[in-house]
Order: sequence, then C-alpha cells, then structure tokens
Amino acid sequence: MVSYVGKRLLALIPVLIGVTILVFSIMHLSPGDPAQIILGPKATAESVKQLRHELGLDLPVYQQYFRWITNVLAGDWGRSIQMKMEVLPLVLDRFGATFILTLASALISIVGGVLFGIIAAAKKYSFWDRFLMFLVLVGFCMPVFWFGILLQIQFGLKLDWLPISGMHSPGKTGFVDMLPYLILPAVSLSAGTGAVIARMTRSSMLEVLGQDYIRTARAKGMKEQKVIYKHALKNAFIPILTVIGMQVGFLLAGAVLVEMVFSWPGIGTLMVKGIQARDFPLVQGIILFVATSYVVINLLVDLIYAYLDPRIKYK
Amino acid sequence: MADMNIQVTQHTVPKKKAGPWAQTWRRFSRDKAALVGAVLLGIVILLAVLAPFLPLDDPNAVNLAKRLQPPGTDGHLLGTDELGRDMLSRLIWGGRISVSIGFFAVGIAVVFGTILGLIAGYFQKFFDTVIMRFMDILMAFPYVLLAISIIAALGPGLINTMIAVSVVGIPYYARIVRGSTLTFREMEFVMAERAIGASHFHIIFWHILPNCLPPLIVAVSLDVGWMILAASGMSFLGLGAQPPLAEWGVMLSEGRKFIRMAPHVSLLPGLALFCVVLAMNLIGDGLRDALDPKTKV
Amino acid sequence: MKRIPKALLAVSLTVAAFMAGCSNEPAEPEKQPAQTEQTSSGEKVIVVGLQAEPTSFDAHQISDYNTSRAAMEIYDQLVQFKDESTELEPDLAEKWDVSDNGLEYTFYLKKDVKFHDGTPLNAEAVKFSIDRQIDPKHPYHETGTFAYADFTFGMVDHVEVVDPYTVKIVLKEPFAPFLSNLAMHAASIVSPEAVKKYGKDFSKHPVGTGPFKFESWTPGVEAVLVKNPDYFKGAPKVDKLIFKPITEDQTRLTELESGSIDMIVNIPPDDLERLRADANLQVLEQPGMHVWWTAFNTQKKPFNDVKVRQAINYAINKESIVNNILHGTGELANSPVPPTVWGHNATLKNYEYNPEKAKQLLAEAGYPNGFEVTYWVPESGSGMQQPATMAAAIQADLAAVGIKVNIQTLEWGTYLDKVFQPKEKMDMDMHQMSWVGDNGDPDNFLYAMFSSEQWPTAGFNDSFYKNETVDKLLKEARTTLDKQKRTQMYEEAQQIIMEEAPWIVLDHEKQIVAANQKIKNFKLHPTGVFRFANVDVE
Repeated sequence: MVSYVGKRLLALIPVLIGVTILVFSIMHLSPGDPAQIILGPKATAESVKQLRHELGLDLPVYQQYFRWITNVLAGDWGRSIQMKMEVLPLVLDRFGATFILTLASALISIVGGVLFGIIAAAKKYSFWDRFLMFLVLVGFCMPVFWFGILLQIQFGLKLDWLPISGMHSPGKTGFVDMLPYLILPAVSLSAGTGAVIARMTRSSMLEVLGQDYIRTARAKGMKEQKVIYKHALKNAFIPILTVIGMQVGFLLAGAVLVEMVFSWPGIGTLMVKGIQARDFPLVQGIILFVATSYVVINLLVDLIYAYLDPRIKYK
Repeated sequence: MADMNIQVTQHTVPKKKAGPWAQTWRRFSRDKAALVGAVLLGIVILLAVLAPFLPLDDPNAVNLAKRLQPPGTDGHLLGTDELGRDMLSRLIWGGRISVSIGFFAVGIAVVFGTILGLIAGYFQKFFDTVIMRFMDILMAFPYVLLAISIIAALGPGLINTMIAVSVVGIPYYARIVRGSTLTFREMEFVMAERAIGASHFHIIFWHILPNCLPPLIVAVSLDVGWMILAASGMSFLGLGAQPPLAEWGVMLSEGRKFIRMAPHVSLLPGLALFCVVLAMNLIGDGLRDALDPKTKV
Repeated sequence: MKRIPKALLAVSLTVAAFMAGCSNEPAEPEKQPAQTEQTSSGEKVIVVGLQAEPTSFDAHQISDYNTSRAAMEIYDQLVQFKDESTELEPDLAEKWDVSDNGLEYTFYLKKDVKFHDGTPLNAEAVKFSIDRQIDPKHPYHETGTFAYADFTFGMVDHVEVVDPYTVKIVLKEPFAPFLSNLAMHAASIVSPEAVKKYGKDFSKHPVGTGPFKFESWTPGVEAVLVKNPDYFKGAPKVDKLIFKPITEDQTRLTELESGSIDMIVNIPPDDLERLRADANLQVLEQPGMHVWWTAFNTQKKPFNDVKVRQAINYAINKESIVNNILHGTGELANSPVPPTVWGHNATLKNYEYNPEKAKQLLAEAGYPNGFEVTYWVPESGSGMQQPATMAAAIQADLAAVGIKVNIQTLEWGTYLDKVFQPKEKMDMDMHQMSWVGDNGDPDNFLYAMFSSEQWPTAGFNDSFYKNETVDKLLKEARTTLDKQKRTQMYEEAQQIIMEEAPWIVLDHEKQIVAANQKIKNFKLHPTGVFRFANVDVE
C-alpha cells in the first residue's frame, strides 16, 4: 500500500511538469501582450517596451520558463502583473473559496444524484422513474449562469430569503456568516453534475439488480429494500465513484461561471481575469495549483476504490 | 489513475448468436421511450436540414423598432430578440449550427478518444504510459482555460469553439475505452483469436471495439448536450460563434441579459436544447438496453 | 456498505485539513481600532457595486475606471477639477505661477496638511510622487508599473524643491494642457514614508491625504475605506465606503434592487426603465467625456477613398442605434470631441441616415455593387458599450447598401494586440474603439487620435488618418497658451475631420449611476471619478 502510494506520487511528477510546460507555452504563444494590456491602449510604444523589459518578457521563452520553474520550486511564485500582489498567497486565498463552493456542490450533487438514481432504479419504468429522470435532464440542460440568475431573482429579490451574491456580509468573516451565501451558488453549480451522477447511479443499479446473485437473494425471499441497500448499492457504488472523481474536475472548472455570476471570490474569476490580462505568473500559478489539487483528489478517489473493492490490486 | 481500471459499466460479452444487430434493432424498436426520442431527434434534424426551404424570415434581418417582442406578436410567432430578429427563424437556423456542433464535437472526441484508448489498453507498456500520461495532463488542466487558450490562439469562431470543447472530451473517452479494452483483451474469445493468429488490427476492431460500445453510447447520449452547453459557456465568456450567426449557445448566453423583461429570448433556445438532450437520452437508454439484454429483467 | 462512511470520513478529513490550510483571510487589513469599535448602529455606510475588481490602490499605478473609483478618495492632487466640470481649482496647492515661456510651474502648498500616517505633506513629498514615476534611477521606481506616467509627466524635465512648501516643476517644452494633467490620478501625492515602508506592497497599503483612509482590501470580496476625521477640508459625513466587485450585470442590478448595495455603475440600457420606475432608487446621469467610433483603415482600399467613407456614414442609422440599442444612455455625436470638453464645435452635424445617397456615393467611387470587408469587434472592453449588438446593427445597415460585413469578435487582450499594429503589418479594414478623456483638454481627443504623428504604435490614431492641415493645426494648438486661439484651431480641425470621415462617429456615452434614495448629495463628475467627501446617508 505505502509503496503503491509512493509510486503514484512519483507518477504525478511528469504530469505536473507536462502541465507547467503546456500552460507556459499556451500563455506565451497566444496573442496578446501583458505590457500592452496593463498600460492600456493609450500607452506609448516606448513605455510598453520598457515594461516588457522590466517584466523579463523580452527573454527567450525557454529562459523565461526555467527562470519561472526554478523560482516556483524555491517557493517564489512571482508577483501578479496586474494585481501587483504575490501569486502564492493570492492563489491560496482564492482557492479556499472555490474549494468550499466545489465541496458544497459536490455534496449536494452526490447526495441528490445518488438518491434520485436509487429511487428511479428501484421503481424502474414507473411514474417516479420517468418523473425524476425528466427532472434530472431539465437540471442538466440549464446553463449554470442562466439558472443562477433565475435563482437570484427568485430567492434573493422576490422572496428575499437568501443573499444574492458575494461570500460574506460586508466586513464579516466566518463559517456561519457564509452559509446563506453559499446556498444559491452551490445549488446552481450542482445541477449538471447531480444529473450525471443520478443517471449513472440509476444505470449501474439497474445493471446490478439484473445480476444473478440479486435474483438469488430475491428468490430466497429477502426484502426488496434490503436487496437494494445491502447488496445492490454496494456493488453499484464503484462506477458511481468513478463518475464522481471525473466530475470533481468539471466542478472545479464549472465553478468559473458560477463564481462570475455570484461574485464568489474564487479562483475561477481570478483565472479568467488573469487570462484576459495575460497575467502570466498569475495564470501559471493558478493552473499549477489547480492541476496539483485535481491529481491529488483523483489519487484519493482511487485509494477509496481500493479500499472498497478488494478485487483491485496495487501494482 | 493508470494502474487501476474500473469499468464504468460491467457487462459481459454478447452471446455469439446469429444477427446480433438485428436482435438489437428488434429490441430497440419495441422500446417506446426510445422511439419517442428517435422521432423527436428526427424532427429537430429535419427542421434543421429543411431550414432554407421553409417559409421563414431572414434570421439575420435586424429591425430595431421591433426589439424584444413577446411570442405571439404579429408576424413573429415566437417573438423577436434584442435586435428585432425573428426568434422562430433563429431557433431553426440555430438548430442547424448547434446540433452539428454537438455531434461533430462529440464525434471528434469519440474518434480520437477511442483510438487512443484502444491503443493504450491493447498494447499497454510504453504506449499506455505515454498516452495516458498525456491524457492526465489534459484532464488536470481546467477545461475552461484549455478552451479559452485554444480560442485565444486560434481566434474565436464556431470551428475553434468546436475544436476547443471536443479536445476537452478526448481524455474522458480515452479512459472509458481503455478501461473496457483492458478487460476484454484478457477474455477467452480474444485469447482464442490471438491463438489462431489473428492480426492486432482485426482483434481490436472486430472483437474489442464492439464490446466497448455500450458504455460509449451512454456517455455520448449526454455529451451531445454537454458540448452545446460548453459552447454556450464559451459565449458567456464572450468567445462563441460570431454575430450575426444564430446558435443556441450564444442565444442562451446573450438572452440572459433580458431575463427580466423578455425571458423568451433565453427560454426558447433552452427549451430547444432540452428537446435534443431528452431525445438523445431516450435513444441512448434504449440503445444501451437493446445492446445489453441482461439489464432487461 | 459499512465501509463507505469510513471512506467518506477519510475524504472529509483530508478536505478539512486542506481548508484549514487555505482559510480566507483578508490581505492583512490595517485595522484602526478606533474605527472598527463603533460598529453597526449609527454608522453611515455606502456599499458600491463595481463592474470589476480594483487592481491596485496605488494612485500612480491606476489605469482603469473601476480602480480609480475605488481608490481616488484616498488621495489629493496639487490642483483639482471643480465639481461637475473640468475647470481647475486649488487643492493641495494654495496657488501657483506659470513662467512666461510656459516652462516653469511653481506651486505654493497648503501648510499643516498631513498624510493618513501622520507624516506632513511638503514639497519633498510632491517631488517624490513625481520622480518615483518618471525617473528610472529613483530608488523607489521599482515599486510599481506606472501606466500613466508617460501621459501625465512625459513633458516634465525635472522637479525642484524650492523650500519646504514650495515646489517647481520644469517642462522640456511648453505644453498647454499640463495643469489639467496635474489634476489626474497619476498626479496624486502619496506619502513617501509609506512607499519606503511597504515597497511593492504600497498598492495594498496606500497612504494619501484624501477624505477617506484605506482600511482593508480582500481581493474579489471588498475594499473598505473609512473616513479621515482630520481631512484638511473638513471630515466627510459618511463613515465607511465599501466597494464590491460584481462582474455580472444582472447580479449587480438584483443586488441594488434588493437594497443590499447602495450604488451601481454600468447599467444595461434595457434595464434602465425599470430602475427609473423604482421609487426606492434614483438614477443620476451626466454627459461624459467619452466617444465611441468605428475607424476605417484610411490607408487601404476601399477606405482610402473619402466617398466610400462618407457613403458608409450615410448608410448607418445612427439615431436608431442610439435610441433603440443604447436607449438614450449615449448622446448622438456630431464630432469626435464631446460637448463636455471645451473646444467642441457645436455647429457641426453628423451624417444623416440616407441609404440612397450612400448607394450613389458608392457608385461614384466605383463600387456600385458594394464590396466585402471584415469588421473587428471586441467582445467587451472599457467604454465599448454594447460592441456586438451595435456591430450587428451596423452590419445590417451596410448589408442594405450592398456592403457585406464579416464581423470578427475578439477577446479584449487579443483585440488590442491586433488593432495597435504598425501600418506595414496592419491588415485591418474597420474596427470599433472608444476613448474616455483624461484631463478635459481637446488635445487629449484630437491630437491623440488624428495627428499623423500618432499612428500606431506611437499613438492612438487607429484609422491611420493623415491630413496636413489637421496635423499643423493640432501641433500648433499644443504649444499655444492662448485658449481662444486654441479653440479656433480645434474647431477648424473638427470640421475637416468630420468632412473627411475617417471614422463613423457614433455617440458620447453618458455616465449613469443608479443609487438608493437614501444617498444624498452625490454628484457625478465628468472625469468619471466618484466623490464622496460631501455625500450623506439618510
């Protein structure tokens, strides 16, 4: 087990190096010049050139890469070109907000999705099955930004139950203060993922329910509820977990749109702004961080599988 | 990720009976829900194909004096958008674009993902490591950034949006197919083929690929809708199809600006998208059940 | 089944550990205990919804509106614009002299003005604030990137401290609009001690002399300013200003309507009617120093023919765009210079909507069947109003006279890169652009955009316009100190430019702010900066 984890951690290194090379080349090869953008259209060519020099952008790209990567390894993630702040604290701070949002909507979509899926599978081809699956498709089809705006108008403005945007009341911090702010963005982010999980749960439950040992259990006169919860769900859970693992990546990324709609101070808004401003150090830092956390989360998911399913062996 | 393989669905090898496809079709055609889906999709495709021949207004004819008219207005059955263009006409013309984006993007992703997944899963070793590591890199990369960067490099526009969203899909298909391939290459029937000296190509395409299809079909049925939505997200970020082109994703994201005074501008393309996703899902479910008779109790 | 809760527990534990590592702390708020203790109850707070995140609170590093709206109340300048006008009045300088040759400006500072950190405002601080930006050898030059240094102080030769309260700025050549530059954000006087103390982090620990002090800034969440009770012009009435970035227009509106924020900018034209009808809200508007246009590449076929440019101008129904798309949030322009700026030529008329005349001109120019062009449009951008919608309307109007327009929408960063290319590399046909005046001087509009010395990449003449008479007039007006003579020159230049039509000049965007009724005495300023010193809350 320990050596397996060690091996897996080692395997992360080439992936992360690949990610850094990819993000670096994408940022540097795409059109747009951070110096021009930061100085605005009104700047003179001379001052743009000087700023490029100050930022080290006039060096060959590979030199810039090595300079950046050695600094990163030494713990210096550079300073955002546009925000003028150090990248690492900024990224850590904003990632926290995204993580809370992602976690909340993962919980909502897993609980909701698995529940819907089980009910639909248990009552296969009944009205409830059709109704829930219809609902799930509606959820899937609603673009997060559109759904989010509707929720704001309904629950924030008309009913006045929940705050509309932001993460805290002005000047406050803390978990309790944040909760009401979290609900609407988390719900609108979870609709799509929840739909995928619900469908996968239903289909893998149906699969398992059709297998011989379930028939045997039923034939022995076991209660239907016990069949579903004791035998079927356990075996159906593995494919569901796979989907959940994949969806975490989508949640992290899909959070961008939700963050923009709800002014959630997460990493997604920071990233879009960074890309627009060609803020190289910032975007590179964000991607490196997000990619690392993505691979770590997937490693955890894999370890959970191994824990759940003794058939999986470590190589 | 690479060393553990969990199949998304666990299905056994189809029995080698005469005419498996005919059987599948028979089962499929008995599934009413799937037929409804097929009819629905048929209507959408038919409308899209026939758009040039239908008696519709020019989808790009601007009339600023008649902006944001509600459905039922004289001469505009479904109202008008923010430039006074006919919604009905834009929906139907938009269908041409959006449905093709969805299918093409999924198609590209499926083709590349499947080929890579087959190679990685079948040959293993070096190929597996290189391909799957690269897929890991793509997956670890937030897809919005990947798409934005592709668009920033290639310039915005429909084709580039399509490429961007389909590149995002490749690793997912590669993973699914690789997982199935790993299972099937150890099965008796593949071993038997290999023993009688069948070529790799033959084994991959005639014996392994068909068995990878059921999980693929389930994935595809949701993904066509997902691709259209992802394209819509791109245009929310301002990087979608170019005006004045009608496309559901752009209509959805632009329409949100009028959600208070003219909700139909974003509601209608949403509804159209829903029809396609619903149809694809019904068909997908039907196909999966038909391909895999065991799930029918 | 029994094992799953354990596994989930494991995940949640890891997650909890993760979150503990990245808790959400504000960027080291410099809390003044005195202020934070008297919370809630009687405190007067204004919450402002901004369109985007401020990028820096260092006045010298500001290059966009959002940031200046949030940051400028921290600072003062030597001179300032009067309320609701671009006329100048004393601020930190009590009075000033200009030498006869127009090269030496001497300022006499007010005494007993203190920075928020308690250090005194003096001539040294003025010299420091300017030298920091323009002298690459200045020890604190590395503490920032100064986007506006060139524009504001490019003509400055050096700054001399005459005595502790007298400072002299010497120019390289006479420059008529210089005094106006000194009222701009880059001319703010900052505390030298604070810059020395915080270095690059001065942008999140700003110290000035203004009516409000900086309290905290949590990027993405909010920036908080508190009142400066010792402000040299008297303490402001409001205790606290909170600026929140809310990117999505619809969200910002909903927040305002629900009453949880007090004031917003950048209101979508279509929603304005509803806000006006809302009894809880007030909508303030004022003509701004803005112009929106579409530039032709005047050095390239077919736009090198003045008849083609005029034809296109006749073909577009500008009034309809202003009324129906912008819903009166812009004012139809009759010249590139907005009426709020002196020197505006009020006698000119924009081209009327006349498709027949357009077709006739096109035929005369040798294009009876029109032609095909590419039209570059940014997907968004400061001052660009509704770029895609406006482009679609223009596209439709031009289609009616036989010109096929292919719109290409580009993301702002890429867009700037493509538009500001030297002539040799330029493959542009036509594109959109806008400009917001900086110092209220017509030179800031005309010279920058129509002098052939200002062709990209040297400047902002994005239509590559070249006319010798215009060049001569604009150059002379720069160095003439007599305002009346300058006015005449600018009026003549505008006439020629409108005649030759290097642009489709469309409109001057109004500044529009919607605010809660409880906010009293808030006045818009043509420069777009918000002033809160005299504002009260009911």
